[in-house]
Amino acid sequence: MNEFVESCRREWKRLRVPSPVADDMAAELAADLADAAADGATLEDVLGPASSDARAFAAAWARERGVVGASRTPRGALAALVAVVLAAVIAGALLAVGHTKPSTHAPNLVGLSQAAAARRAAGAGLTLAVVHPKPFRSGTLTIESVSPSGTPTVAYSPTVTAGRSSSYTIIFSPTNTPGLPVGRIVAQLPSAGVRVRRGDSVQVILDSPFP
Amino acid sequence: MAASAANGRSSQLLRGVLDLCLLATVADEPAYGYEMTKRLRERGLAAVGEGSIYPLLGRLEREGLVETYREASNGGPPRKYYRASARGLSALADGLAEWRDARDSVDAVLGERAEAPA
Repeated sequence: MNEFVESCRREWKRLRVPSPVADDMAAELAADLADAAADGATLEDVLGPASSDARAFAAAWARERGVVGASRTPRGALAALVAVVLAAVIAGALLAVGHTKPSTHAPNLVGLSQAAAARRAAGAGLTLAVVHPKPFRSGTLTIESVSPSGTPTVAYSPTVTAGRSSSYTIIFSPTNTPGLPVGRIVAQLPSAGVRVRRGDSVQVILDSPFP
Repeated sequence: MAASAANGRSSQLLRGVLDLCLLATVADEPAYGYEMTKRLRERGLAAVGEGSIYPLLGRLEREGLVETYREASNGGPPRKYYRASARGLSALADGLAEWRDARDSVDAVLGERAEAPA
């Protein structure tokens, strides 16, 4: 009879019946069978034909009690597959939208005031990012995380080094820009005419009096 | 009529009302599974084992028609006792009325045959 109970336990485990419930059913069955054995009754006397098929008996009991765990049925697998395919389609669509994001050309912002440059950039669907409004008399300014979509054009007479990465190093000479009043854009990244995606930002450098 | 066929019909008839029989068995006095089997057999329902009462008890428990508790046995492991809940007693009353209606209808048909001359 113990073997029958153990067979039931294995079936309940296979059916992912929660352990406390499986323990409860196993204990109940073991106690009743022990009582029956004390009366001289056989397994068949207690369970009838079910005594010859522990798996079927255990499955029926768990099913009627409503404790069969979620199983990987073909239907469940199909639902999971549909979910994966759907997710892939959505991801692909989003990616496609990203790739087909309308592009535009960076407008020429050099010589404009910051406000005018912002308006022109907005008109092209771009944003303006002032990188360094007050350049040093001399030194190095590093622009981080700029998409290197073009060679920068700098009207401030600096020496410009365009790196291969998304970082540019701009070295300013200690002179003001000839012909440009203070407070105007003297450089921009990317340069005018370079194709960019709408929503990108144009990095600009403002001329300002040296301290 | 062969004895096996008669047994088969008894088993089928019992299967339709075994839940009511179990509820009736524990309506007044709690009992554990094997004890219920014995009580039913003592009252002539020998075919009860063929359906095995445990899955049915599991359904009654899930539906809240019986309440359970454990109690130590003499020298053995604790037994799981069942007793009818308030919902179970109500379901028993409803089921009993249905059973009587069905029994009377069947008697009305079969009773005529029983009284007819051979």
